[in-house]
Amino acid sequence: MMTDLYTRITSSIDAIVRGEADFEKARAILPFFYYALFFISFLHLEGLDYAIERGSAGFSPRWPLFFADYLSFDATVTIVLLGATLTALLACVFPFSRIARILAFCGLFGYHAYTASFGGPNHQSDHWLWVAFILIFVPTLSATPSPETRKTFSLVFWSAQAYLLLTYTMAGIGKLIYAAIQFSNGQAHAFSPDAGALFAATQLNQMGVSTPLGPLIIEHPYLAWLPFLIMLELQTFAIVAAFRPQLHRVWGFGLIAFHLATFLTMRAVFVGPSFLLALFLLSSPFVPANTSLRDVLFSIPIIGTIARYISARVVRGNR
Amino acid sequence: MIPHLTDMPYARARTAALIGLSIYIAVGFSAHVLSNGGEDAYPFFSWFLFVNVPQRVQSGFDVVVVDGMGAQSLTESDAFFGDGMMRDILALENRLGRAVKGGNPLEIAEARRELESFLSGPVTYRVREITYDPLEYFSSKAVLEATVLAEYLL
Repeated sequence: MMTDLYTRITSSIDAIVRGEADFEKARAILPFFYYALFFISFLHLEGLDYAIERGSAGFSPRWPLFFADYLSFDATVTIVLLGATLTALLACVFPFSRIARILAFCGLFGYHAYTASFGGPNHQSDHWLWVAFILIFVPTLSATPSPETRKTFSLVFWSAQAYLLLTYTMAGIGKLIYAAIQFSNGQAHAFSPDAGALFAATQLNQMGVSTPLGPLIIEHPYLAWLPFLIMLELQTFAIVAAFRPQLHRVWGFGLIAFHLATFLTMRAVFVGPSFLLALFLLSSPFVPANTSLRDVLFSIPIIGTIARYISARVVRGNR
Repeated sequence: MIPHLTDMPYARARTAALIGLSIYIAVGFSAHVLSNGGEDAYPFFSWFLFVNVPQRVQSGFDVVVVDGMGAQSLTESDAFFGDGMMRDILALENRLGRAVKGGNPLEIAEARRELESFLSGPVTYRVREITYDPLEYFSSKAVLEATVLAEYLL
């Protein structure tokens, strides 16, 4: 059974990753990851004075900052922020050099560890870190890459997409598990009509702020019910979308809309992942050229099944 | 050396990708279970974010000015402090409330000192333990139940 599953998965990947036009597009997109990484790193470097001024209160370095024990806090922050910027710049100049990509990953790892060294983890750059790690494995390109190399290049790009989508599936599964637990305890749960409003109100009460859409869904909790259920669908089945390239843009857009909605309702900020969703999914090189809206709709998990059922009933009814 | 090591043939790279993604899931979920929902296994993460839906009845602490500064709950006093400071005020209210309830004099003194730096005296204020419906509380700051834990004069 496991062998069957493995064969099905690998066959699906082989059908997506062709190393043809998808390779050309993936190769064109790749440098933009490093351009954006440099832009972000430079912005953080701009805040160096503020980071130093804020001081080391609560700073408990994560293991990648092993050198922090031997340096002052100021020196550590300077090395981390400067290192991330310079290595990202190097990868901008040489995006197809593996050494440059390894260094960019190391620079980003240092920055990521720094932001996660003040108590709780900081998930703003988690996706960036792991995508940078995956992109290390982009194969070395010659002037005329072989079909095998082109396919491997596309595969690495697809792996970055799959990782991005996988994290949302994990988040969706978490919500489903906890929904079952809360439901069995007789508590409000993820499928409750007021779940979205409860999240928004609790978050805004804790922060002492308001948002453009928060008061509306708190006043009318049912307004958030359907969007919340759609969000559960988007998250839980995100990894399925990785294997259905006709859904890449739909899921990219849906998840970006979800991040925008959580910002507008409960001021939860996920800017970093949104950019990656745009770069890797909205611009996905694997989206088939001729995909009808019907194909897209029918391939959406659950909703597609319902749509196919309704469509079949309508066709039968018309006969 | 590194390029040769990692320029894998397609089939092997595909297997490696699937193994890598599986490891990420396994470590992320295991870390969540083993740490009882707490710390991640850096840099892996379970992505169990916002999994517990907040309930209709919640509890916490607030501070109410009963004499001076317009005599109102500090939570309603964004006219005094503005959005930028409300988060700090709310955190301090809860910190002071927990310290008073726990009977921790050092923490009470420290939290009072920080909170009172936001107030302009003379002011008499009460620290209350409250239960509330978060939806109602957001709209009107209405509480279901309030117990006064302490009263202080600045």
